[in-house]
Amino acid sequence: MSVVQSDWVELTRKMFVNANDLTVEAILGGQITVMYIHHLLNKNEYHQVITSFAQDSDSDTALKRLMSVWNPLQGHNEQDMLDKIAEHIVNGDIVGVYNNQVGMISSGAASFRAIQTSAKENVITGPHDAFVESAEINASLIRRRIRTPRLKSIKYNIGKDFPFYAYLIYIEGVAEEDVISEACIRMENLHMREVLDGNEVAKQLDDTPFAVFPQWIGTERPDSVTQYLLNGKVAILTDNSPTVVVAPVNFLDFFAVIGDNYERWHFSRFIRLLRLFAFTLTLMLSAFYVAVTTYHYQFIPPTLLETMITSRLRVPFEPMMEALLMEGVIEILREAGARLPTKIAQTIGIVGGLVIGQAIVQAGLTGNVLIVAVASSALASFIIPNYTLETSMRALRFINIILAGLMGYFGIVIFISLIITRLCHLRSLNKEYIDLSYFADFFFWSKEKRPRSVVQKSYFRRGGRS
Amino acid sequence: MNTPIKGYAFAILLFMIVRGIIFFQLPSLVTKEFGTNSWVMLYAYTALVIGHMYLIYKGSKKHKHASIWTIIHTHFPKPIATIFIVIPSLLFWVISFNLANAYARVLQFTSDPSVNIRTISIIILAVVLFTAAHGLYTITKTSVLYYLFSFWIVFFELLQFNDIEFVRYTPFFLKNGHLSFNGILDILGAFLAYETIMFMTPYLEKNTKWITYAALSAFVIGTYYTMYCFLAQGLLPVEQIQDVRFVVLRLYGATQINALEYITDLLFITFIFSAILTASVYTWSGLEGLKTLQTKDRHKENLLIAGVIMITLCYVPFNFDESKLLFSISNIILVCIIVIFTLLYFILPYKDNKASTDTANCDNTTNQAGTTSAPASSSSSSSEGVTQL
Repeated sequence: MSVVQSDWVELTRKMFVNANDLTVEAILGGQITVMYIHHLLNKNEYHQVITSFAQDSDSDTALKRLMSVWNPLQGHNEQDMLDKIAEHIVNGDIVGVYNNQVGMISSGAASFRAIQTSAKENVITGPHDAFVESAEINASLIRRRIRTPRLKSIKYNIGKDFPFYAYLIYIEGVAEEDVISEACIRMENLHMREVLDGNEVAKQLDDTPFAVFPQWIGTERPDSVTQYLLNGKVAILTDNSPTVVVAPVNFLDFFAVIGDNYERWHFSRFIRLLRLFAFTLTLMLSAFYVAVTTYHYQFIPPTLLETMITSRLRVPFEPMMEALLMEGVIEILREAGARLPTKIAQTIGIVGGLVIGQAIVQAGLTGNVLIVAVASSALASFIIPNYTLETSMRALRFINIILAGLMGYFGIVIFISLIITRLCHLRSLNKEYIDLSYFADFFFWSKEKRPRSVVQKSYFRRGGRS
Repeated sequence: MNTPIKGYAFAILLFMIVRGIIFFQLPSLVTKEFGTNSWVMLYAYTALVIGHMYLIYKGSKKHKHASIWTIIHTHFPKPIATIFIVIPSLLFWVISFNLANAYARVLQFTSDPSVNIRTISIIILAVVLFTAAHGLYTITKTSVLYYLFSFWIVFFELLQFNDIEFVRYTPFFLKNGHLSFNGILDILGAFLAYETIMFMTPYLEKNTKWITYAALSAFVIGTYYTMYCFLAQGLLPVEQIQDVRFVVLRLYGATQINALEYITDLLFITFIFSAILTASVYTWSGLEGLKTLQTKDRHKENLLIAGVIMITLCYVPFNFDESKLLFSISNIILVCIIVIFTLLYFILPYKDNKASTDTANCDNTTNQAGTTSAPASSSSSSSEGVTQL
């Protein structure tokens, strides 16, 4: 292959035509031409790998020193070579051309967001670091916690038209073989047109894509991912996304957070029970109100019934419409609060919660009791630690209210039946979504799970007072 | 390889499917047939059921845990096998309809006279089809969760032991009864649904002695029924108890907990879980039967047939007495089929038929139990190992 030196530079220029962020620069007196995208460079490292060699030495010595640290690039043919050059340039490397030889050197990544606390998953006790928008940095956060060569990381290009990279991470010997092979098969077959976030990847890898419930857990916390990996799950890191998704998951996993393990056992179990209760409350409370006020007056004690009648006296709507209206208002407020800047969102919350709520009651559009029910169920939904599950429930709540409005308790029970059957059928990475044997692990703290060396005998086994 | 059903889950499934809709009128039926202190007879029924379960166990063991459908299919010429399979399958769907219809009638009685029985029956049957379509493994898992949702209700009844009058237990045993063949069968109907074991055996854990769990489940059911019957006969006079339509609901209403008085009907509504499960298992059994006759997987078509039959029945204008008659006739035919199937276990010799029939059937229905290394053809269709409806 006899291609003159200037050809590589020209061919690269042609490939990047109209890409003005490509910099082509002749250095060391024009002996070597370097090409890079300056937005992707770390400026400090650029100095270290390029300009520092030229300092305090003549150009020939500098050239020798420079070439000694560069990695040569080779291709099977011209197109292959060009592809490699382009790949390195778009990945933020510096490509240099000298006498028909092409080499590259990494200049370090361009600036990423610093490792900070996750805004989505607050921490009370435990490590405060969270993932950022770089798969390499995220992988390093995991590797620092699991220092073993058995931690495997397989890189996949999951892009259909353009390269998008994702990493499958697991611990060999801890994750089950069938889980690993299933994850590998799915990743190999995954070709997406666009990959902008880890949650997008998870949706494509779902066992049942149209299910309402999430089948992968997304988290931004490295300690969570570490714990999941140590428990035999696999994780997928997506480039440019702080969300790492984990599978196979159990439904109860969505009600447990890593922080539970850092608390005393009694509190962590209590809080898990509370989350399950909140889950039920979120789904059921408004529907229950609708069923009771529409069909089942006999279920309400007389004093409470009197209060409810008084509160609904001026309301012109059916309980179902009344509940749908209030739930709709709550959803609008919630969505507005999520999209607006924090300070405005706080104001919206106060205005929505206090002013609109009070005004709605005074205007006679809803009753006080419903406001209590809707607000309680909205509050309960915030306790659920997983945002994806929370959004699923918010949608389901409307269906439940409609069923309760049409059929009363019978509608609610039908709703429960359908949900339970579906949940029992779901699978995550071919593993059961509802695993009955997991219930005990979820609710009870096992002393046996602590390392043997620190498990002490009980007071009685020690033979009385120590 | 399908995930087998564990022993404890199997026991709970049996408990949930046997505890059906007849339970609400059982004390009245028993008192009418056997008279004073007739609660004791429920243990006799329990013993009968356990004895029959043991026969099924022995028979199924002889045929290496093959389901009765498979046994019939491999031993008889196709036309005869078709008759032996299609007729019971149709009967099972009629029974599913009966259960939905009976539940709708009780709902009308307890909640609101304006309840449309047809609409409620159709809704229940739709849920039943949905559940049955997911296969036995999902049904079993669902039954465990339903059980957790509803088992606590029994503890409320224990509080009523203060209210019973012991003088009502003093007459002799089994006096003033009006014994009839239909009545005896009606009481037996409260214990039925356990016979679906004959279709479940290929899906149970092979190294588990399922008879132990089945017998335990039957014993718990027997005790459960006996407790309610004992309470009812202590709370109400014998003459009155025969005329109360749903005496168990009356028991809930008479509870000492004030709050419970208000939610009596709500407690009844939780029994829909049992009704759905029982009907689902019957529907599933019928679907399994049809599948045995088919060489290709026609799961959706079979579901459609079952759905059409059951929903057509909803449009037949049965009044209360006609529904009751249909229930009784179905029960009689069911008992006959149970006897015939049990005899077939012992009459027919063992034939190795695994490759041709049984395995294919297992794969069709409970595929949701999942093969772990099923190759995924595409990223979003990686659930190939999972049952698709």
